[in-house]
Amino acid sequence: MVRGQMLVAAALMMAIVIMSIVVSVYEAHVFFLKTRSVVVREVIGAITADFERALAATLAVATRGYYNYTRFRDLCAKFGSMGYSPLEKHNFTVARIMAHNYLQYWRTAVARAYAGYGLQVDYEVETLDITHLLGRQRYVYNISAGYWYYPSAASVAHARLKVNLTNLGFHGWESPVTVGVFLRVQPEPVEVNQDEGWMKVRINVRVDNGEPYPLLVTQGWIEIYYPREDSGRWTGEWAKAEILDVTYEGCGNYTITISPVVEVLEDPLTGERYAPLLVVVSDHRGILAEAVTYDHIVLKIRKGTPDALEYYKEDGKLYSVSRPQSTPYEVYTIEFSSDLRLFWLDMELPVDPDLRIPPLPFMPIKQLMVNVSYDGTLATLRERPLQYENWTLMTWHGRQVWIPYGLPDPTTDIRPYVLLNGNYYAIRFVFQVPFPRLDIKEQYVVIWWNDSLDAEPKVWETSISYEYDPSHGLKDLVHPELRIELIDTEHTRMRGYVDYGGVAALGLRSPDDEAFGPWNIHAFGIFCRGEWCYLGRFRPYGRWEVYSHYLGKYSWLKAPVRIFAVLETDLVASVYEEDPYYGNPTTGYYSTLAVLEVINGTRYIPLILHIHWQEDREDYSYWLYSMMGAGVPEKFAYMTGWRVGQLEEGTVRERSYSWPCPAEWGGCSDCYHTGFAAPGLWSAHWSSAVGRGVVGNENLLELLEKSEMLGYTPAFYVTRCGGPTGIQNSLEVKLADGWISVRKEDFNPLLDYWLVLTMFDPPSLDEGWKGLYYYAPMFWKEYAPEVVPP
Amino acid sequence: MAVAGRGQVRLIELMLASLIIASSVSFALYFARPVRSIYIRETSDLRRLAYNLLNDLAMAGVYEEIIVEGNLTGRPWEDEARLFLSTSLPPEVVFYMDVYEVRLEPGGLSLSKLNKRPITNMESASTIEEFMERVTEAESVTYTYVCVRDPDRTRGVLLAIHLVLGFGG
Repeated sequence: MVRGQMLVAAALMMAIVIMSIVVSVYEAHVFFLKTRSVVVREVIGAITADFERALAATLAVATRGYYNYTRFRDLCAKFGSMGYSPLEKHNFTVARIMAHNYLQYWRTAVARAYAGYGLQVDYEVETLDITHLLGRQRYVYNISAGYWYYPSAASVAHARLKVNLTNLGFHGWESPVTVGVFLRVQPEPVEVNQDEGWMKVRINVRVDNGEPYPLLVTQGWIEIYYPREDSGRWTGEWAKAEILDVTYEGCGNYTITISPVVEVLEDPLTGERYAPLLVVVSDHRGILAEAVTYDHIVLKIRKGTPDALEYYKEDGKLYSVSRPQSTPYEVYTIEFSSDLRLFWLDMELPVDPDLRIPPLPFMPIKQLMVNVSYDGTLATLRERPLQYENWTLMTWHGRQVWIPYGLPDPTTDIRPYVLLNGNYYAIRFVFQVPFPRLDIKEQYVVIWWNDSLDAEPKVWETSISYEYDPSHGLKDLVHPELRIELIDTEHTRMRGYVDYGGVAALGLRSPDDEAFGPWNIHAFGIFCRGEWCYLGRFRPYGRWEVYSHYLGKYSWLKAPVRIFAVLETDLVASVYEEDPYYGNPTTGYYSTLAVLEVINGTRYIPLILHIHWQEDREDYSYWLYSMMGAGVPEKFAYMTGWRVGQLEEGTVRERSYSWPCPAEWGGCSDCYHTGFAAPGLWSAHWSSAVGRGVVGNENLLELLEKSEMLGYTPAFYVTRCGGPTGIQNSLEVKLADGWISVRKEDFNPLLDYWLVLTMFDPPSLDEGWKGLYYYAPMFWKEYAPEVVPP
Repeated sequence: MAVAGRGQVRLIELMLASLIIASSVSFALYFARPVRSIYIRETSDLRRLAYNLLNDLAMAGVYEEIIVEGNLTGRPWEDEARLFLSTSLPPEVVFYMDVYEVRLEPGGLSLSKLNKRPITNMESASTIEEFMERVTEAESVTYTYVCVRDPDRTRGVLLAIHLVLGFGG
């Protein structure tokens, strides 16, 4: 009986289990039918695929606009309503805003299209690590990112798609979506055929999550650029190579045959060989990536200054002075031009023929960086301040002169040069190369670039500034050791001095704003009324244009290396109120083009001058400069420029601003204006604590010698009195002391020279000029630095 | 006799147990029978077919090739689209397609119909209403497509494609 009950009970249990299983299977079947019947898979697939396309479209706009907005205007301009504009083409933040706006539009449209399914769609921004695909540690942080300009490049967008189909009871679908193009270029060509003029380069193209991309030729495109050459040097320009053949070798690898052959270089830092090439690819969705076969340019700056300097004394004996072992102020402000030339002051530096400088990538200015060594070894290579400047080689009164015309918007593209209306435009990248010790002869310079399209121009600390406040009489360039007040038509009265009536000059002041007096940059003739004659009647009349900040959205960013003041005028006027030409400028004399540079971290202030005489003129005396001292200097000296009497060329003549009168010419009253023969490359005045001087270049010397040759009397002068303090103690150099008939054809070809205002520490009161002389050769062409291979 | 009686009881118990199991299986199968599965499968297949077809066309870049290029050049792309769909679908399936551009305007989204003529293989239907009257069984889907291929000026254009598939009556 018991057994029978057990059997029935077991059967009942089995029945319950069977019923449960069958019901479960039924429920699963019903759920499957439900989901299958409303094609959940297809709807989710369609939405995901469309999200991927939407993401790709935003990345295409961002990358095409970044690469070349003008070329892809058809696409990029359409996204203006979503916040994307040509002014923001190199701003990936704005590209992201555009992407979010577009995805919002897409979400709304998709939600409406799939409304029957109760679609809820959203996306979440998340970080994506692309290190394994790019070969260096990089991430996609905020929906999209681009890493270009290196041998491997990537353009990527990534988000997590979230979908609910509420009407179907389908919730919580999430799918990470990545779109992108990864390009890797092998730097060294795989084969070169010089005879037939072709070479083979290998690239690898992958898309999205690293899938090989076999459609590059059929549905995408590739462009390869090589450096354009002219007269044996690369010009900085990229020319499109002819693609002769493309072979797809699987796994995303392509071998591309191009013409012409490009010289293979060796990287001095890594030893790797590379042919300078720039490669741009686009996939079928329009996503671009730009890669370059190198990511830096290495060169060396070799200084040319001697370890010891010679000079004569007035006793006719030759002396030598060794420059000190420590030369902390021998800092060159080097300009690397986008056309691959290098400049220092107003001269192009010689480049060793063995050094091949490849072009900068086609990229915005803001990407560029520079590292410079400190002791000549690689160990001290550090990133240094870099400044960007616009320069033009213009025809100015028949002569070719380089002048700066502003600091560019750092987001503009680097173009090697532009020819427009007969003028040549280039961008200069300015950095400083220090030679802090005598034994350091060469310094490494590594010009490199940031691969992130999000790169911002670096903000560097600087101790120079431009203070402009017309209401308080301020138009000053401020240097830690000197404040230069720009006197001009806008700011006519130097603080505490006379009103110049619109004449352009430079007011020198101490950091505490005490006036040393003006630095007059050019003057011709005298103005006499009754028995009184006023010196330097016709002086440049105009306005100093100051370039201290960048253009565009980075206008808040100060120039970290130097500030420019440029004066360009055809007018002259007088500074004397009694003169009819006071405040009443005239033409018919000379035109002036002056470029003043106030440079951070140095003790020199170059003034590059170009003067053009419009007509022949005759008058009494011609000043090339006069610099006042407010009675601070106690002594002065200058170096003769040629042999005169018993004085050898290169004689240093040192005197005190003393009474009785120290010189051979001129009046010798209490307020003497007295002069010396044969001015040369420099003059200086100093006290026991501080000194200032003016160093000219060889052009200045040539000009003075020409005057001498023509029978005039070039002279170095000092003026004892004048100014608010009553004592001036000036430095003055005259092209001619006495009557001069300026003939255009004699002087115009020579009136291109520079004057470098130099501040120095006198080693002692006697022979204090040596503080200047140690550094003076820096500013002479003969000792200009050279650019050499590392 | 006692042994025989015990065997009969066992037999009865066994029959009772079998009856319980059989009835429970029958009961479960009766109540858990799939409902309308054949009908659901048929209609969902049409919808699935529509999505798959639209997705295949997307993958092949047909929308840019036909619709976008056709609109840019002014050629009668509706005929090309009709031909494309006809050759891609089984002969017994009839279709009707409208293509819209989804535009973002100040007031919000708007749909701008791109096809000037009906895209259908049912010659007697010139509107969707006429088409629906003439089919016995139909499913419609709406598919969105962001143009990503050339030409540049249409990249990012968002299309909404309304496709109805059915069997002719």
